[in-house]
Amino acid sequence: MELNVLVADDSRVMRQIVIRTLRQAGYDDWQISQASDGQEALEMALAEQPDLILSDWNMPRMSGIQLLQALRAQGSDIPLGFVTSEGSAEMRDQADAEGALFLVSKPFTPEAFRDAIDPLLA
Amino acid sequence: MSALDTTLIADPAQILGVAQDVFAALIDDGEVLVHEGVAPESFDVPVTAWVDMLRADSPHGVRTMVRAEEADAHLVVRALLRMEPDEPVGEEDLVDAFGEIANVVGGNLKSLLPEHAELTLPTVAAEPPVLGREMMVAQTPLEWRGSCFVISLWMLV
Repeated sequence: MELNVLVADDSRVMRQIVIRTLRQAGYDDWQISQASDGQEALEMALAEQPDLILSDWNMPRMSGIQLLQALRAQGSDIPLGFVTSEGSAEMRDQADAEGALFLVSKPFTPEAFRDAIDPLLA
Repeated sequence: MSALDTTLIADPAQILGVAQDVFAALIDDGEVLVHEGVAPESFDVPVTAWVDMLRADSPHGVRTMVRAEEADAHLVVRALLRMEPDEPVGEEDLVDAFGEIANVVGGNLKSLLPEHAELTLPTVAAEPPVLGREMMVAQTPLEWRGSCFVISLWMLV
């Protein structure tokens, strides 16, 4: 299934690794755009209406959770999943409460992405 | 206000396990190539990356620091970015990639804390800032593909 996906992370290196791992997970035909923080991701998401956002949590200017809150406050229901180095129970609960689809912890594997994403595509 | 409880993370075996997971997943395609190493007496041309775990209601925090020779840090950058063995590593990529190693290691250790803390964005420099009252609570030297990395945890007081 071809999707337009927005990857938000302040690390260019991590964005590259996320995209590479998505390819390894089998999502070869996804069209992927990139944002370098939450604010840029918000602007791109509202303009481009991607099918899915994969966002880091801890970013300058606007965090991932603030991005999710800002999207919902503006009436956007674009699905969002977190890809973050901090997978504490408290953060998972907060992500759930705000309506995130999933939280994949760094370091991740192709299997971790498939486990999180495949059920959404079924 | 009391300091963060580092009982679960100030453990060399715990730090080694996190580092093995990070390198295996992000660099070595699942293969565990990180092992316990020997800390050098000093670094000639060091690169240091760190993130801090901070609590809003306390001046105390915990710093996760990753330190290596610059040439060894370049090996990590090339491996992360799938660069050629002799490809030059720019300063921007060094700061980004080596900082992400500290970020992911620190984030995973933070997840083991029994209480909430905020993780700072990573900082990369030759030397960490001298605070004067920090105290090392754990240090784990690592060997990866013949290179040495030292991960240490510091109580910021």
